Amino acid sequence: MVTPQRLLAVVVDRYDRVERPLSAPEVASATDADLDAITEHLQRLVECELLCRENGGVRPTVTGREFLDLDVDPDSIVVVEIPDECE
Amino acid sequence: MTGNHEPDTAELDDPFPSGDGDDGIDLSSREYGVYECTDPDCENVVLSLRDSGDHMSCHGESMAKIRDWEMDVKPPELRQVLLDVFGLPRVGLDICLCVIGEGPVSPATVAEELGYDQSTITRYLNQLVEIGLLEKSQLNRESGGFVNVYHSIDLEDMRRESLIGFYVWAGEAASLIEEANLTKAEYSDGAGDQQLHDVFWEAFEERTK
Repeated sequence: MVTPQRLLAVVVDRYDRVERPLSAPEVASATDADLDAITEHLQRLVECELLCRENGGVRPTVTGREFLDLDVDPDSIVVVEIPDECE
Repeated sequence: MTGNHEPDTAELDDPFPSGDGDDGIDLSSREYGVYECTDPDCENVVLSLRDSGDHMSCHGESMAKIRDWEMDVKPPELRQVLLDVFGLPRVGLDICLCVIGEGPVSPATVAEELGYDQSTITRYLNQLVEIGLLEKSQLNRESGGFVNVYHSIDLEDMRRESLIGFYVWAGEAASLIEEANLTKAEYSDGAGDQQLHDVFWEAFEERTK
């Protein structure tokens, strides 16, 4: 089962190669994972502003790329707070 | 989803009572080991995280593993001890357990899962940072400003730090128990006309400053 974090890395890698937003089926195909699970993970990554929706697909945000650079352990605790949420 | 709320005191009660004081514990089946020095004049007792068989020693004397223990006193509630040791609030522990291994989640999602207010989640996340169990990093937000990311410190480091922290706490507690068990004569040495209880609490306060 692909984790949301691993999924983010896949989206970044694939987006950089094709240079266009990726659809959920496309990402599911790339990861050989269940479409429903992928859709759920993508939604969560969008809520955390690590991905953003564009032209019917998703693309990585600056935040998403910086997040991957943190190299956080995928089995650890990760909570992403966007400013609107804490005000 | 349950209604959002602030946890109250009643919710913090330990749901795992550790005994009513009449039970014994079969220590031989535990993953840890409690050993006592076989020198009757030593009285040293140690805790080992793992069963060390017959290889424990104290000042050259062998140490015997304690196999069972009859509790004549009510032991502390385990959850309460852990919360006290680390100053870790129940909500903080809930947050950790809720999100560990789940990947990036938002405070809103955590709040919904746990039934707490979102502001409560944010407040306790910051408390976990203060305690040292989480790190807080700021990332650039695409639309301007910053995004806060709360993430674990290295899991191995966390395990080591928390275990040593607990042992230090337990060592302090054990020392206090030893203090309370000193004889009146031992207390009276140099205590002048002070009452025994006054001497004890003075020593207690000195130690816990």
